[in-house]
Amino acid sequence: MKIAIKREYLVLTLLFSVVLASRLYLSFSVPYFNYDAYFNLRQVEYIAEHGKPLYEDPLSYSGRTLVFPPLFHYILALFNLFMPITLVGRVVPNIFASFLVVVIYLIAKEITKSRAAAIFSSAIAGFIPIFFSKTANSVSSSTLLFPIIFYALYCLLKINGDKKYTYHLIALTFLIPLIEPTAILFVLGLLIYLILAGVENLKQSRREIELIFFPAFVILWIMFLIYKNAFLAHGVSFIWQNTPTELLGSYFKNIHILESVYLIGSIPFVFGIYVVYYYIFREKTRATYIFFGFALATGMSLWLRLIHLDFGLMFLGILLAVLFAQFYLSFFIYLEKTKVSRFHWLFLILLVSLFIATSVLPSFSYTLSELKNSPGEDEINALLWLRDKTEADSVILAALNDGHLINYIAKRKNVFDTNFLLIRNIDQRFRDFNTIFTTQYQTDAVRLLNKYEVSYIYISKNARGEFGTDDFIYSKHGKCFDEAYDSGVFIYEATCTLEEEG
Amino acid sequence: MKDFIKYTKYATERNSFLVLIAVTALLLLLPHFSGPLSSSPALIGREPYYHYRIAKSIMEEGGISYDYISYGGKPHLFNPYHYVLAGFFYFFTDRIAVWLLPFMLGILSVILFYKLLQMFKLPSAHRFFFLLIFVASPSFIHTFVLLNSASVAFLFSLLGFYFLLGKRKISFAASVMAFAPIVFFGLAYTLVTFLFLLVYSLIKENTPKEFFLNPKKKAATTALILFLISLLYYSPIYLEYGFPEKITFVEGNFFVSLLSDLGGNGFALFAVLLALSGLILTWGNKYVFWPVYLGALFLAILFFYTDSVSIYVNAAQSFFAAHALIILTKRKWEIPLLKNLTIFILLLGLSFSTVSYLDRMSDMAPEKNTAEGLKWLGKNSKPGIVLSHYSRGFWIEAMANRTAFMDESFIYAPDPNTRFEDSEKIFQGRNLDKTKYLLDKYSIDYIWIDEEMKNGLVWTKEQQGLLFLFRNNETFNNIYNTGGVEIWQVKR
Repeated sequence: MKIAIKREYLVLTLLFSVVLASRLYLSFSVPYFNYDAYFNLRQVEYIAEHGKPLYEDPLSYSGRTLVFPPLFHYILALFNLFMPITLVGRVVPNIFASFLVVVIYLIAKEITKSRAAAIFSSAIAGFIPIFFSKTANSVSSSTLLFPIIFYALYCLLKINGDKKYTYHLIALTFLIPLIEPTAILFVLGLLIYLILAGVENLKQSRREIELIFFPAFVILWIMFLIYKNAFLAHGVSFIWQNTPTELLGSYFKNIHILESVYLIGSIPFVFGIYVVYYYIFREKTRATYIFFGFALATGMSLWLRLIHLDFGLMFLGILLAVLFAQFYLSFFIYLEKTKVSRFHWLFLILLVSLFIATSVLPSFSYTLSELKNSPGEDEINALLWLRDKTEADSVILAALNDGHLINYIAKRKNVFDTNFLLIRNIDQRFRDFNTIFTTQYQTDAVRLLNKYEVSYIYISKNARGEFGTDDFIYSKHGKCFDEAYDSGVFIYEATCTLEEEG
Repeated sequence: MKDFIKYTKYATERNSFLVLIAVTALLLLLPHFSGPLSSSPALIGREPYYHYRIAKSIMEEGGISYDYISYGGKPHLFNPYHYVLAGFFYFFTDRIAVWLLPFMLGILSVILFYKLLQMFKLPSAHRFFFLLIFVASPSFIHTFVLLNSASVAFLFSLLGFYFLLGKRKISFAASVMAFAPIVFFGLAYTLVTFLFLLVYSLIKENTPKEFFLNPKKKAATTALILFLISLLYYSPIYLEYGFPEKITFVEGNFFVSLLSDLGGNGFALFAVLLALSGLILTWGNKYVFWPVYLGALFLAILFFYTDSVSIYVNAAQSFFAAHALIILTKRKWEIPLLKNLTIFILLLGLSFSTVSYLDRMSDMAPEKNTAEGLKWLGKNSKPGIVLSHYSRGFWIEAMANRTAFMDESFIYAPDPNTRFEDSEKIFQGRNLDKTKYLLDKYSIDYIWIDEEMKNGLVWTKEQQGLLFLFRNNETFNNIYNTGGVEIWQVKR
């Protein structure tokens, strides 16, 4: 028995190490983080230095108020006290993400009581292509959110046994809303499970009902405390984070089934959905209903475009990885009853091969292409030039994805970045922003540059990609724009002021 | 329930009542005597300025049938609230009257509601939490802190039901007398009262006796009388003026109206969630609660169309929310810690919305610069028509005593939709000739602009539309420019 336990832990440790090593290898293969990472890095450094988050940001949008839950940043800041930020940003989130393997193992084992099914399920969770690629080098708070949410679900499964899980769940309830606003999905999932269980007359303990209502109220309350001003400022559009209307289409995209299968991995997708069908309509188990409730909540939120597609697919991927364990168990039990039972190893090899082909390899290939979404040496040099050669209060106009880099590396004010909450007249600002980049009229450009008090225009590969052109008015060397930097990235100084006759 | 009411030895019937009155008084007085409003010379909100002006006119002229200021002249529909307010202005100073009247109406409503719930034999704990949630809701504060005609209409509804349940013969007459004035407050209040009476009269015999004491026949008769009075009152109005024009430019958002946390004057999110839970929890006794469901359904439908009935919806949602809260408290929890934590979080959530709303009320008053600009306009301009955003209309009329091109009193206003479209053409147009034509068409003499209008309410860009045309000093003359407020005179 002892040997069995040790082997189980050994395999799990090995799996955890493989996932972590793969993530770290890919993350360290590029010199810089993905563009999305720099907001979080800046907050982490600020907390490490000042002990509190930078809620009144003088640089973003040339000065604005930020609202965000700060737990992830605080944890990273703690590590930043004795580790350099580049190491913290690469190592800590990847450790968090790799812990998902352990959590999913615990859940799968609890549901199936099969070590093999649990190991296979956790391996799948470790290599969900979209989760792997989007979080390996982006210092994403989802790396903390998912292991915590799934551990909370594990606690929910175990509440009728050991009391410690009840207390774990109570404690986690307070932490979940402090990580990401999308934590609201946790509440939605629990409520849908409650409704499903009620409809199907599933036996629910009093303790379970209490432990579903409590998190629902606590999470809502904490989120209201954090986002009070955003609710008042944006009303219902708060749900879409005040994203400019023109960007909504690309931020909250429609789902394409085939693409989703590829991003989640075909094994969990196909077999997970089979399990949903089988257990919902035939065998009614509490565990399957919990995860089905969450899958339904995620699916509905995606359908109603309430959450980002990437986040929704990550959540679905992990849920289906859990449900796969049930399929694994049922399949091999069934196989034992057939004449081909002695060839079960052949099926195992087939499954492993399928897993490598549809989960591991896509994870690597997606991550490699995602890593291209990080700044190159030329961009960093240009940003350092801005930091060293321009006045401290200069406003830099840059592409949407360069916004956080302007704040973090150049330490200068930007006009636009991807945090839209609490920005007034966001649609007008976005239209102006697009006009500045795409106009062919110098007067229009100068008028808008004056409006936002822009001193420099930073044109990188992001600007060329976002606007699909190299033909910016600034590169035509008009008398209002001096080329201040030219080395792969172009920086133009805006020198004119438009004076209108009275 | 007894266990609960004996939560502490102090939780007696009398003390519960006193606590309710104290909480009500505190919530109703706090916005007037703390924070920015205490030092502000202005009333809170926009509609109160309308009531203030009409009540003052009544005091001076003894009555009003035609409003010469609003839209340059439109029919004025009789509203008893203005006479009550005028009465207060007669006995008290303006500053005292504007908080004393809503305060007294609020306290009276709570006392009457308490008595009414006692007559319905609602358990004391349920009654206490019902009224606590009711008075702590932004909807109640909105109705009984600001000058709001719903406050008197609601009090009359309570009074009507109070007398309806009375056992003396005279009480029926008193009930009719109390219900009748509701007709003059508006069709929405009349409809709510009529439907409540109808639902009450439809209750079956087999319902618990103690819940519905008796007089369904009286209720039906009262509903009929109310219907007849409405017919007598509204028919001549509709015959003379027709149906009011449907306003197409005011876009209401149901969710914003519903949840105060989204910026409206409705209800706390936690109260709504609790009410929904309460509704589900009562479903087991659906045969007892069906009249309440029916009433709530009517209210929900009506609230979808007009948020003026929010105080009535508040009563319904407080009933279900209190029911859920009591079940949560009474229920034996397997994890006692969780029970205490959940109730604590719920109470925090409920009070959070109340505090947040009280804090937000200070933003509803016109800013100091706005008030000063309007007073300046009143003193330094000739009588004439002032163009601004329609939301500034009541302020212009009450504080500057000038005719606003548009205000929010849309009923029987002359062509409000066309006026709005034309005002947009003036605000957004860059063609001086077209703008001058429209200004002449409506004889507009002054244009009044504030910071909020320049920051998104009307314009989003500098030099947009009319802001660009102001440079033409042959047509426009800037006569006031202080603290973000600009007043432009139209030269002719």
